[in-house]
Order: sequence, then C-alpha cells, then structure tokens
Amino acid sequence: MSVDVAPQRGTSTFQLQFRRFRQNRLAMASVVVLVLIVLLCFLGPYAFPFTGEDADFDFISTPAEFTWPHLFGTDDFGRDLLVRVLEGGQVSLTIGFLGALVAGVIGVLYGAVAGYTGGRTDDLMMRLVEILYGFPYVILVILLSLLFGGGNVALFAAIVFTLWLTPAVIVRAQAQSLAQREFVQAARAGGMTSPAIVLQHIVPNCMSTVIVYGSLLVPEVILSESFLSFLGIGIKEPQASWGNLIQTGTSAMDTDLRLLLLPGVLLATVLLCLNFIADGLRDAFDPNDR
Amino acid sequence: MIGKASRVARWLAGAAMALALAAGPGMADAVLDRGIGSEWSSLDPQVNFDAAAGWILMDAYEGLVTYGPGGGVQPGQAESWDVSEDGKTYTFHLREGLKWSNGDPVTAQEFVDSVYRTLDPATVSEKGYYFYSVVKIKGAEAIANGEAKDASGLGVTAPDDRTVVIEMETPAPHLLNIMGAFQIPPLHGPSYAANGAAGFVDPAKVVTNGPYTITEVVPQSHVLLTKNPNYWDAANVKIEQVKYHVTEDVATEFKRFQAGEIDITYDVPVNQLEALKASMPDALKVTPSTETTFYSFNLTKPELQDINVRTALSLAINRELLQDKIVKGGAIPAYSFAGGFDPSYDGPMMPGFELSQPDREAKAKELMAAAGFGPDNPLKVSIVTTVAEDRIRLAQGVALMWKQVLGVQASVEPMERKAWLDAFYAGTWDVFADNLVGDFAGAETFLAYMRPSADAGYHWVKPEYDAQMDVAATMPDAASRNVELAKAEKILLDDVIFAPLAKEPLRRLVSPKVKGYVPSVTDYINSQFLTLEP
Amino acid sequence: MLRFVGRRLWSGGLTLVALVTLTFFVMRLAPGGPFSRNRKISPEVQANIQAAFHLDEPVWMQFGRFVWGVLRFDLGPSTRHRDYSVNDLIASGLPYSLTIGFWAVVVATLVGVALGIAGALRRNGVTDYVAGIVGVIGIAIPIFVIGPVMQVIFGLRLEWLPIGGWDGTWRSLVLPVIVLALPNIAYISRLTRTSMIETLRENYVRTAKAKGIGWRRVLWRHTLTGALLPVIAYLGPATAAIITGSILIETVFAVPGIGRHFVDAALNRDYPLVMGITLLYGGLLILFNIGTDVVRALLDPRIRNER
Repeated sequence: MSVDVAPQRGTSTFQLQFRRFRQNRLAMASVVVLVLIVLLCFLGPYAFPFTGEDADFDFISTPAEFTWPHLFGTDDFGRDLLVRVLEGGQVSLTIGFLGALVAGVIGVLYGAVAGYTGGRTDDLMMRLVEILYGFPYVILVILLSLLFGGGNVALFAAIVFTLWLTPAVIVRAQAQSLAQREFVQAARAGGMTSPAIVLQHIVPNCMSTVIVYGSLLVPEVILSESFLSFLGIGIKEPQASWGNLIQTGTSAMDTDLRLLLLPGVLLATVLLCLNFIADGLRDAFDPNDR
Repeated sequence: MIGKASRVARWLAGAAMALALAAGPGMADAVLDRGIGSEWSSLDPQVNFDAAAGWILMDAYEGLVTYGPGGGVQPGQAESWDVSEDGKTYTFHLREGLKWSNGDPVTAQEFVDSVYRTLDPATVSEKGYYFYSVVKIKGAEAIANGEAKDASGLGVTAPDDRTVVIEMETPAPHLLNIMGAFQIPPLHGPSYAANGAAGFVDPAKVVTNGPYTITEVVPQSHVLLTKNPNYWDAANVKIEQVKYHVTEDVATEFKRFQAGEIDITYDVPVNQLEALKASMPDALKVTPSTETTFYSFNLTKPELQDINVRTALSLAINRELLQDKIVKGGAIPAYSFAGGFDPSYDGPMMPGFELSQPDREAKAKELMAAAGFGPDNPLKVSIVTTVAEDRIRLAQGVALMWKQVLGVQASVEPMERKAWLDAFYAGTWDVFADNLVGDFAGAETFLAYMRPSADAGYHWVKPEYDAQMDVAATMPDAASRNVELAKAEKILLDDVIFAPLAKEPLRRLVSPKVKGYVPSVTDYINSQFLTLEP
Repeated sequence: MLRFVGRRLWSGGLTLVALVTLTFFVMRLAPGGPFSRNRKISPEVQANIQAAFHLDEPVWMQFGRFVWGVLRFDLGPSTRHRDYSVNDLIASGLPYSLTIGFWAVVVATLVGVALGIAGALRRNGVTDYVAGIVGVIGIAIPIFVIGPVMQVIFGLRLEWLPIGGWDGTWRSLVLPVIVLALPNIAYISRLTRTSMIETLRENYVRTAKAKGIGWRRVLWRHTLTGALLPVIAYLGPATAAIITGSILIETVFAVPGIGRHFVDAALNRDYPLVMGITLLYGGLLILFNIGTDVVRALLDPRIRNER
C-alpha cells in the first residue's frame, strides 16, 4: 500500500500534476482573473494622467460617473478613487502574498520538524510557540515599530511575526500522525535521514492543508494592516492600501458606498480566486491521487 | 392570481411587523440615556480627571457653585458670596438646611476636607494643580509637594458650619469657574472614614449631595443615577433617572440613537455630519468647545528657527478650506490662540490675519524664497500626530497645502498616544499636531500654559511673556486682567512659535424628547436642568 | 495518558512563568509610561504618582512585588481605571467575553464542520461552491463591515435585536456571537473540507469501503475522526483567542468584556492590567493546547504510540 509512485515513462510527476491542474477549469479561470487583477494594479495607474496622491480640491467627492478621467469618481481629498484602489492593490497584494508565503513557509517547516521529531524537541518548540502567542500583541507591534521605524518593514515584521504560529500548530498535528505512518517508518528503516524525510514525505503530505490555509491568510494580512495603522504602524498616508481604503470606506458606508465597494469587491474577488486555485492545487498535487 | 399574491404578501408583511413589534425592545421613558464615549476615569470625586466622569459627578454632587444652562456660574451649595477689595479672598455662604442623600447635614468643613484630600499626595490625584496652578490658593502647593503635612496652612477654611473662606496669593476672577462639583464637591466625612475610596464606587455605600445619587455601576457599561430626594432643589429636578452609557464606537452610538436607546450622544460620526445637517437639523448640535488645535514648530530645528519660515508655513494654510472641505468635522478656523472662548476677552490675531487668503499665500511664497527655500531646495518637515481619524486628515490637509503653495515636502507620522506624548518631549518632530483643552472658558488658562516656565517642551525663550503674564496675574478684576492678557497673547502670536488652526467643536445628537438642552462651551450640561418628554 | 497530561501541565506551568516574566520586562521598553498623559502636572506630583504605584523602584523589585502578588491572587491596582483593581476588571469583564466566546466557538465549529463536510462530499458540485462561498464570507468581509451592517438590518430596520449593550437576555448575544463566529467558520470549513477529501481517499477508508461497510458508517466512524485532527489543532489557539474576547466585536456591539483590555491596557501602558491579561490569556492558551493534544491523541491511535 505504498503511496510513492514511480514516474511514468516520458512525463515527470510534476508535469502530470501540472496537467491535472490545467484541467480544472475553475482554478484556471481564477488564475486568469487573478493575473488580470495584478496586471491592472501594477500597470493600470500608468493609463491615467494623475497619481493616487494628486489631490484636486475642486473635484472633491465626485460620484462614480464612469466618465474619463475619473471613472469611479474621487475621494474626499479630490484624489481619483480607481487609481488609489489600484495603487493600493500594489502594496496590499505584495504584502499579502509575501506575508502569507513567508508565514506559510516558516510555519510548515517549524511544524513539520516539531511534529515529526516529537519528544523533547517538539515540547520545546511548541512551548516557544505558546510564549509568542501569549505575548501581548499590541506591545509587540509597538516594539517592532520602535525597532524598524514606522514603515513597511515594521509592518511586515508585525504581521508575519505571529502569523506563522497557527500554521505551525496545524502542520505539527498532521506531522505527528504522519510520523507513525507505514511509509514513513519504511523510509526510516530504509536509512533516509530525518531532514530528507521531513522534506520529501512530511511536508508534501501537509501541503494541501497549508495551501488552503495560506489562501485564507492573504486577505487576513491585507485587512490586519488597517488594524495596525490604529497603532501607528502601517501604510502611511497619503499612500493608499486596500486596508486603509476599506477602513475609510467603512466609516463612510452610510453616505458613500462606492468608497468601500471598489476595494472591497476587488479584495473579495482575490479571495475567491485564491480559494479555487488552492482547491485546484490541492486536487492536482494530492499524493494519494496519483 | 395577482390578488391572491398581494393578499399573501400583505399577510406576510403584517406578520413580520407584528413579530417586529413584539420583539422590539421597549424603552423606559423616565430614564435619560446619555453617551459618554470612553469609560469614566474614576468615580472618586477628588481623583477623576476626565469629562465623562465629570458629567456623572456633576449630577451626583454639587460644589459651592454650579453651572446653569449655557454653562454660566450659578449659586450651588453656596447661596451667595463676597469678594474682598483686592480680589484675593472669597467668602461663600452656604444655604440653610443642606443635606446629604442619607440625611446628614452638609457642613462647610467638608469643602475644606475635599480640597485637602485632592492636594494630599496620599490620594495620588492629578487634579491638585487646579488649586495651585490655575488659581493660587495659599498653602496649596506646599501640601501637594509634601512639605505641609496637614490642612492648617491651607487657604481654604470653614470659620463656621455655613461659611467657606478661600484665600489666594494672587487675585483670580476665574475662581468661580472652578468651584463646581467637578473640582470641589464636599467630602462626606463619616462614609469616607468608614469606607475609604471604595465607597465612591459602591451604590450601597455612596453618599452624595447633588441632584442625583448613584444607584448602579457596571464597569465599562454604564452608571445609573436616581433622583436624590434630599437635594435642596429636588422639586425642580424633573427627570427621575439618568443612565450614562459607555459608547466607545461612535458609529454604534449613532445607531443606538436612531433606535431610541440613547437620547444624548457623546459624538457624531464625522462623515455623517453633512447628511445630518439636512436630515436632523434640530437634533444635531455642533457647538464650540474649550479645545484649540494648533501646529507647534520645533524651535530647535535650524530651518524652523527662522521666523520667516514659520510665518510662511502658517500663512500658507487655508484654514477655511481645511475645515470645510477636508476635515469636515465642524471645527471653527482659528487665527488666534486664546480668543473666542470668553466673549469679554478681546484678543489679538496672528500676523497676516488681515490679509485675504490669496494674499497670505503670496506673502508666504515670498518669505519662503527669502529664507532660501524653493523647488530646487525644498523644505522637508515631519508632522507628528495622533492616530485619530480627524487628526490624520488635518495633517494630510496641511501637508498637501504646504506642498501645493510652498513646495514643502511634509511627511505625516501618526503615532499612538503614548508614543506621541513621548515624541514631544524627546523632540523627535518638526511640526507637532498639538491641542489644548482649557480648564475654563477664559483666555488665561490657555496663555498660562504657554509660559516657558510651564512646559519646557516648546523650547521657547521669552522673558517678556512671563513678565507680562505676571502683570496680568495681579489684576483683580476680569476686565483689566483681560487687557493685560491680550498684550501677552500679542507677544505670543507675533513670535509664531505655532500656527493656530481651529477651535474644536462639540458634536452631539440630542433627541427631540429632551427639552432644556443649552450647549455650553465648557460642556457642562447638568441633567437637573433638562426635562424629558415622552 | 495521565502521565502525559501531568507532564504537559508541568511544562505548561513553566511556559507561563517564562511568558509572564518576558512580558513584564519587555513591555517596559515601549516608550512612555502609564502616567505620561497629562502635561500639566508638576514634577513633584508626577514623582508622587509614580511612587504610589511603585514605578520608581528598580524593575527587579517591581517584578518581585508582582510575583508576590500573584501568589496571593492579587494582581494589583490598575493605573488607568483608578476605581478598580486588575482582579475587579477581569472578574467583571470575563463573564461577558466567556459567554460570547463560548457560543461563538460552538457555532463556528458546528457550522464550519458541517459546511466542510458538505463541500467534501459533493466535491465540485453546486453544494461545494455554495458552502465554499458562504464559508469564506467571514474572511472576505471584515468584522468592522459586517458588524455595523447587521446592526442596521437587525437592529434598526427589523428591530429584532438590540444594537449594542447588554440587556441581560439572549438577544444581546445573537449578533456578537454570529459576527465573531464568521471568520472562524471560514477557516474551520476550509480545513475540514480539505482534510475530509484527503481522508476519504486514504487507504484505510478504501479498505473499509471495500469491506462493504455502509458509507454512512464509513463517514462517521473512520473519516470524521481522522479528518478533524487539523481542525482540533486549530481550535487550540483559536478558542483561547475567541474566548478572551475580540476588541472589534466588543467595541462595535458595546459589550463590557475584557477584549478591549488587550489593546487598551497596552496603549495606556497600564502595566498591572497588561500582566493580568497576559497571565489569563497565556494560561487559557496553554490549557486549551493541552486539551486539543489530548483529544487528538484519543482520536488518533497513531499519535498515542509516540507518547
């Protein structure tokens, strides 16, 4: 009942998996949409004669009339809303994906090592996780901002610092049950080193959980940035980000819905795409499915 | 077909409405519900230091004087008072038959005890400065510093049970403004001796002398006050119960107002202001307060040591546009520091006030160029502000204006409150988004604060200012005092150590059921002067 | 098992000590202090206030004082809330947070697991997509948007529920519980679904199916227990976080819980309150982690061998 499969003649495992992913239409459509959004965010602003920081006091809070150049109107500083949302997307998507990626990688490795190794090492590693969980988050953020200044580095550190903890806990749980599985014990009996086992057997079998959890992390990172601005860290105005745009949009919810809708809908779309992509990846790379 | 569908629809609608009505919460109409924003600091009358606690205490206790509708001084526990010739001694005559809520008589000594307890280091109160800084009561500072160990040297005495005498080092016409319950409620001897400070928070033990007593306290939620039958003016107290709610989130508070759960709010969502002016013009009250906002310049920074640069920065700000279009919070543009709070004070305006805004901007450009800054040599400044939404918008607006008019590169650095305070004293700022809340509605409280001796953080060296303020302090009556204070303010404004920006407003929503609500600059709205119509 | 729990409790205690000590010393590195608020006080009075709260003593001495207090179950006075001790504040706020948190965990787990199973069973069908979207709404729409929207719908328009505050009935619970549960429903449903899909494919499940056991029994007996392992692991830290309240929920719905203290105490540099909260949260976290480890060990015999 071994799960390792010898690659078929002519095609590598990876190619097989990739082909399977391509066949998942929903996932592919999501990839396309996501790529479109990313391109829009990074290239879109060049199409306009102004930036998201150019305030025009004569055109304050104009509504969305879909006329050039202010397609979606302006905010209450007279800055074009669409360009601000796109520029905000650049920052938020970067921090979101990077943050989720870094947190995911750290979490997976940490959890896999802890779960597989077990015993004293696992104990120590998990206790460290608990200490980091328990430490007052606000104080941590304040100290990080002290250390790195109030800028983007501090923001990134503040977000990632505690983000990897839950993936680590989940992966460790999975690693614990995997460690007792026959194929792992067989590998050990066969003389495989622990690091190799972790990397080649444990981690791939946890991947689907991690990918799915990670897809949920991206929007969480983007939104947590607005909470952090409350503490003095975060994307500094006049720079836009989806976090602070959604925040401002919410307080204006009753009077001017489009301030919230534009960034909000984009964020929700990104999330849905990531969802389907994650499912597709899970289906494609599932070791049991080969 | 259609008939049947509409019948069903109507039935469904009726059922839904019946359900809604049945499930809807019924509000008790004899209770006035007021929002107080963040939780009160303390219900200990000698320790509390914020406005929220102030309202609760002003309903529960009464000082020598009280503040009527509009905030004017009225007789409180004292029915009359005399002032000495030199303005340094006030003699208050208490009413006859004053009682605490438990029936005990109110005696003059209890006022003395209250002041002493506020000053006593053992109480760890931050309000002591009222008695040796805002006014200079004899012996007060010695007690606060721990040099005097008892009340024997204190300038507050009770020669008999119904007389309180206050002696000051220098005359202070504004003394009456701080003789209310917020600063000097009497201290009930027996219950304090029995329960200590814990008694103030316990509805079963607390004893009050004001229009209401405290009947329920739920931390972080609310305080319930019930009418005190032993109050001397109980016959005129119309509202039976007052409930003060903690309302941290202004949007939630607004919804509760709409649902009828709250009758007087603490604040109004700023982005709703325009809409509310149209839809609820009677309920919305946007009125001036005693808070002024100004942007201080760091006088240790070489670029800002040139008065031309500071003047240019101050002139380049379009204060009306800032408030009307950018911050939109209802604040009033200000061109002076201490004026506009007291109608009898006629103060000077900042340099450049007399020009039109386009002229000011032109002059600003000239001054800036003369100082050597321009597009190829832009001035770079950091603006340090707190993270509150309106403060950030203010800073952004100012930064934008400086950029557009003068080409200045200003970065906005929001900080959480403690870090912001810390930054001030550390000097790690170029422009500080400053604000000051006056202790009473007069010029002196603001001008006294700017004394170089008062706060070293400004690094302002001006002996003439201190000297002029000393001259003003010796004036026994308000009119002559105001004249001298105006001279001091001129010295202050001419040095342009800050750019005055605005007078912050009080923004309230008051339900039409509440009658008798008169806004006051000091924000004293005692519930005893209000009535509630069903 | 007993030895396992005993050992974990012991190491949990040590962790708590380490956490508390670390917090005590590190938090003083943040700029400002509890009384750097008012710029009008004279230096003598400032010094007096500091002394009254023992803030002028060397840090190790303050720490000793704190430890001595903890041993007598006295967490000291709060610097910001002058009328109450830290014990009072936690005692008065905890019941609210616990109630809302408890129900939120229950709702989130039940709904999340149900949605996840539904999605896994009808993979890539309509049910899966609907369950997926419903599940994910909790993350896509942030709490500070969903909360006020629900207040408007259920509080203002329909008038079924109070907008905020606590009127002592179950009505005040409904909205906070639902809104607090939503993001966790997202995580739990996604984790459950993925895990179920994997477990459904595993060999021991195939074996059971092949043996002819009805698929329902297969589902409940063999797959669910295995599939829930990651969810249970997630619930460890998540429960501790939910139960100690969320400041957003408590602010939006005006609930007098302890959630706000997590942020406000740190912002106000209310050192004793921060310590009290950390002690409470750390303790709960460690307990829940031990609990979930035990549950997983009971459910998955494979882990038990390790121990």
